[in-house]
Amino acid sequence: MNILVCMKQVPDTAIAIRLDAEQKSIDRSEITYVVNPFDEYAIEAGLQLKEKYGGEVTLVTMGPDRADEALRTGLAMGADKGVHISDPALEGSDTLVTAKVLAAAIKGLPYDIVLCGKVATDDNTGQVGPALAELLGIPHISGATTLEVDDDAKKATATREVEGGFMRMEVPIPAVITAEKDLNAPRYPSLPGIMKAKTKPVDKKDVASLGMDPSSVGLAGSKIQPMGMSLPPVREAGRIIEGEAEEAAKELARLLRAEVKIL
Amino acid sequence: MMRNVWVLAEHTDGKLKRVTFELLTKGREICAAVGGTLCAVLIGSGVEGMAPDLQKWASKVWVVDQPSLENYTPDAYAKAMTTIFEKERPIMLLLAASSNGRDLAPKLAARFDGALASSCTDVVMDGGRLVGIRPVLGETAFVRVGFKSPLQIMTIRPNVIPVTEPENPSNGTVEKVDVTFDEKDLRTKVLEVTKAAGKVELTEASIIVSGGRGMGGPENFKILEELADVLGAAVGASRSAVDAGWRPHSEQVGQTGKVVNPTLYIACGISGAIQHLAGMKTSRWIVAINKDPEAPIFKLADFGIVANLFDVVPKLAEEIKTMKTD
Amino acid sequence: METVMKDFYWVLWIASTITVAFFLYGVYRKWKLVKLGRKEERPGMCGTRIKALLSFGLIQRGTLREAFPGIFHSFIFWGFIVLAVGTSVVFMQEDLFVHLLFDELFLYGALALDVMGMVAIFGILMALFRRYVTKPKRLDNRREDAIVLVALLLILLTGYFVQGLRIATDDNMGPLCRTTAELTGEDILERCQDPLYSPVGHAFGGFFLAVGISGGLAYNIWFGMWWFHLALAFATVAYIPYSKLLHMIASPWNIFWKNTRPYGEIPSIDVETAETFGVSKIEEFTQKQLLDLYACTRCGRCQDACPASTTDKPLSPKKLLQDLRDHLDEVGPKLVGLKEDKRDEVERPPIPGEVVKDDEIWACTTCMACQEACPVLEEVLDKIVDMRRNLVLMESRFPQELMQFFQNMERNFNPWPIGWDTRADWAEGLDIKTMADSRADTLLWIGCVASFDDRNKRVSTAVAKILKKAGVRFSILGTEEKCCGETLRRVGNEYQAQMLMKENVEILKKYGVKRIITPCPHCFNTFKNEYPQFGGEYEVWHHTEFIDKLVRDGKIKLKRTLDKRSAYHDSCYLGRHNDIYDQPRSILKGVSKRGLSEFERTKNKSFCCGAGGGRMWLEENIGKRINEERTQEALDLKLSLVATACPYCLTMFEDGLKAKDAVESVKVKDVAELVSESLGL
Repeated sequence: MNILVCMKQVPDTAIAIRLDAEQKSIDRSEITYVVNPFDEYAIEAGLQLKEKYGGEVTLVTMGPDRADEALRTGLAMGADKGVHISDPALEGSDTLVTAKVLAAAIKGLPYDIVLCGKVATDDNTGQVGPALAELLGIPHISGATTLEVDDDAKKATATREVEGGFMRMEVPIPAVITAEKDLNAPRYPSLPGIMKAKTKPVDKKDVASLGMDPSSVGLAGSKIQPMGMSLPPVREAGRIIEGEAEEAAKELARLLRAEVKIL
Repeated sequence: MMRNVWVLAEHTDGKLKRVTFELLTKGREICAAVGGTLCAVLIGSGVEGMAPDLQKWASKVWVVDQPSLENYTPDAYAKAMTTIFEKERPIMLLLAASSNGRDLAPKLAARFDGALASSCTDVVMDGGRLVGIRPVLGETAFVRVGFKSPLQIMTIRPNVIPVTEPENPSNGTVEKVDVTFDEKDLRTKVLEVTKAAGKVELTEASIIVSGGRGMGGPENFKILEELADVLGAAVGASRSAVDAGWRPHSEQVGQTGKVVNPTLYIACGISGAIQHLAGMKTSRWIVAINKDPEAPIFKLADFGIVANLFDVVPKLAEEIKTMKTD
Repeated sequence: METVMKDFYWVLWIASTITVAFFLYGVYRKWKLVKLGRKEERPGMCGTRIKALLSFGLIQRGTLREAFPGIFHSFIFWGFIVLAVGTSVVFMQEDLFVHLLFDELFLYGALALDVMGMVAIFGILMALFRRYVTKPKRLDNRREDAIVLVALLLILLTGYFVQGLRIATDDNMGPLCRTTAELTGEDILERCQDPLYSPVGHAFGGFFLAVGISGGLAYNIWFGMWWFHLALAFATVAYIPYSKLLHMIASPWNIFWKNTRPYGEIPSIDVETAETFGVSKIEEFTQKQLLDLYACTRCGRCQDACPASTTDKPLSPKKLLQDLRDHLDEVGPKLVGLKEDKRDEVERPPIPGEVVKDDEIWACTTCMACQEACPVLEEVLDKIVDMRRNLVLMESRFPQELMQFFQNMERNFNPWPIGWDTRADWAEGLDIKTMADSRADTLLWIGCVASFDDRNKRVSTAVAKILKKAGVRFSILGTEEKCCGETLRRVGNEYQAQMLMKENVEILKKYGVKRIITPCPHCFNTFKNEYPQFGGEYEVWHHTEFIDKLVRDGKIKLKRTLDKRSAYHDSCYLGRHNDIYDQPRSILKGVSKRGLSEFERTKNKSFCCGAGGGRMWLEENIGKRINEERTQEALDLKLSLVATACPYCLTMFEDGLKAKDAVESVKVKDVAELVSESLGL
């Protein structure tokens, strides 16, 4: 079985985000980069399919040179090879362009299933999986909390969470499946795995080698234009609601409606 | 060219969901700003009856009502939208940032080469341009995005836009569209739809009510469960409450339990040891109820109540219940 | 009579040859099994080794740490030592004609043999009483235990029977007497008949005479008894390498090859070029580690001391060693003689998971109580770490809580999902310089817990204030500090540990740090004992050591401000790992108005708080909670203050007191906080 996993390197969100001088983007100088957590579930799902049906797991990523580290992490977990699409022209690409670039790379590869994380924790769009499926002309199921693939019957069954319940869906494969948190328990790379990953093949691609026009990608080719970035107002932690228990409870309920907006 | 803003209605059990009206409210606002008209799209099986509600808001309601659309599938819904788009296209399409909205929007964006801004918390006009505001990086920052496409698509988070009923309800027309599905549109099969069985999964919950050692005993968690019921929340516990055997380990929030990220976390009788904070500190809003004013949880909490939780929690549940029925 | 036996000496020669052959073959087999292990450098220090041998071997320092078992073992040990020496002398004189005893010396020799035999019998009776009557929980009874004790008892008793019967036949001349007399002259014969020099033998003789066994009858019985005695003795000697008696050889050898490196140091492994990591096969242990297995006599002291065993967790150091030994006995012979590349073809269960269960491996708090209790200087901790290394680095199998821990360490260099950029937040407003601002020789290394945990931040603050008060020029690393790697190493993630350790060495090099003071015993131990493995050589102080020095040097003057019944809880990594017991106590005596109480289990017998060896970051789902056990001890002592010197201990006590609903009545504070209060800071 040929298993493709699309993955992304994202900043770890544990450290406080600072903005760059132009307030357009985050200050990347102190960022620790990690594999998008949702993609780890996708990689694990891919590895489990390989264990069941044999074949190869190929990781596909688009990102600057440093994204190689993320690929290596996935390779250390047990993926066989990587495709790294890296090109200065890609800078500023929106999610749809990203999906187009990934689709262009994937069209040249054999695949029975394409796995992605449901959403990347940095830009939080959740668009790549469904867009990729559309561009490849194959079905998709997004946010899978369970996944069974029957390679013989050429179908995949997945459960996705919907408001107030769950929906079990079946699609013919090849298909795109995006992984929800807790789809599985991603494995920790073994040390021999980490060592082997250093020499596993990674195919470097640029925009030209994908047969794409540089003007159709990057900021120029994107339909979503970043206008600026802001940080949420500093939370006034430690705000104590005064008053007797009953009053305070009443006030809290009011705040939950007025400020938290959950009611 | 018509500067129409369309809203894709969300519905469940034959009723329009609240988010639909939130989208319509926003859509109306945008129309006013760009000088367009507001239309609604209603897709499903046996949904026609909901059209009148939409007619009050929209000048036109597109209705696709066919048995194949009983359950949402991206393929069939996209086909329905495609069929409508063949007749007319909006400049902007608003969808709910629900599980289905977020699933369908990127597919449409890819199909029609539209600009898609996902999970917006707001849409504003900025220098004559529409600008979407959306949280990124685990909500630690917000980006403003503009659109560069004749088709602008946006998914908007539920519960962020207060609904204001139209002052002069329009009496929009209803246009029924017949969609011919081919095999490819029906390749995705829904095998089963199950309702979540009451209990909300801790890691999935958008609201968590959590109890610690201050609960005093397992029997007292009843008041937390009642509050959770009112809020549609999941119940969590701190390590010491789990250690004491009051709650199962599956409910433990913290470093060695579950790491949660809800919109609202209500910590009751939890002092806020680092072990616990490690599991919930990224919650969007944190409320702490504890009788010890020195408890470290207050440093992190947006709202704190220093009082006996047994006085506060039942009252809070009661208040919220009244608010909800209002 | 003895001369009669000379006719049968050829039988003895054959029997003893067979015995020796059995014995040597057995020892050789074990030797080959031990040699399956990897070679390990344990260089030099011959003097220290011989000293250890004398003190733990001859003087029985290890066994005598506990009175009853110590005494009976020493009785048996010394008894048989004397008897073995005496028998050897007889052999030398009688068969090899090497004359060793002159004049009266043999009389005292004879007396010594006579008395020590009785001492040994007494020891064996005590041992039997304990093993089969009082039956302490830590002992498991196998058949060999009974065989060995009964055999030894019978050898001793039949020895006296032989002597008594000989006396009863009116032949009072024992072999020692005779051979000595032959060479020294007849006049000595008179005196060796004197009951004074073999009172027990004569008592037996008197007994036989009293029950009417004398003359020919006595001779006949003597004849049979003599053979029985010898046969039993030979059989027992032959039995040595095949039974627990092997410890007679393996234990001294093990003591001789004791670890002369710092106690708290875990050996490094090559994580770059090696192909396998840690231990999953028996031959991946070192030869010394395998020798440990044969040196163990299942005395169970480790089990009694172990915080995991005593709180009903599946780990028992004794069981672990025995399971590994049984495995070596079973699998080893199949491996002996095989080339290394053929060994993998031998089918056998992996050690971690099968021979030693995962729950056992993860239960260890690395507190070192087992090793401290062991009379024969077994090393257990390194084996557990080696197995953890295999599980983590090769199998990726570990308690799921560690996944989060590893991830946090990788991303934020601390155990929590808290940004590394907030590491120095505790120091805000305290006017503490960072190395980047102001380089200083002395680094105050905070460690993760005291950097991020609210409760422990008070300790780091207290330490910083004390140093300032004493006029010590120091800086912190601020956000450049990363976890020291201690816990990663002890949970087996050597790869991540070494990455952090090497990075820290680089940063300390950058600032030219010479001296490190730290409030964390875990950081302390790692810097002091393990950083030299990576070229990081520093003068390392735990804050209690340093404060004690400040007090002694008169840099700070303590006031007696503590008016509570208090006791000091020894941190494993200060105490057992680094022998720091007195400094914290000395400080506490300086601040206390009411002196200092002691925990029942204290100093080198101190009971772990339960957080070491990565346990701080793991759930404790099996058995009782270690920290609650220790807290209960404090409550039983009616303490109102527990003084700690370790952030882990502090946290575990805080949790323990909460669990016991005792937060109001008992406080727990770090020594530095008490000093800070005493100085009015």
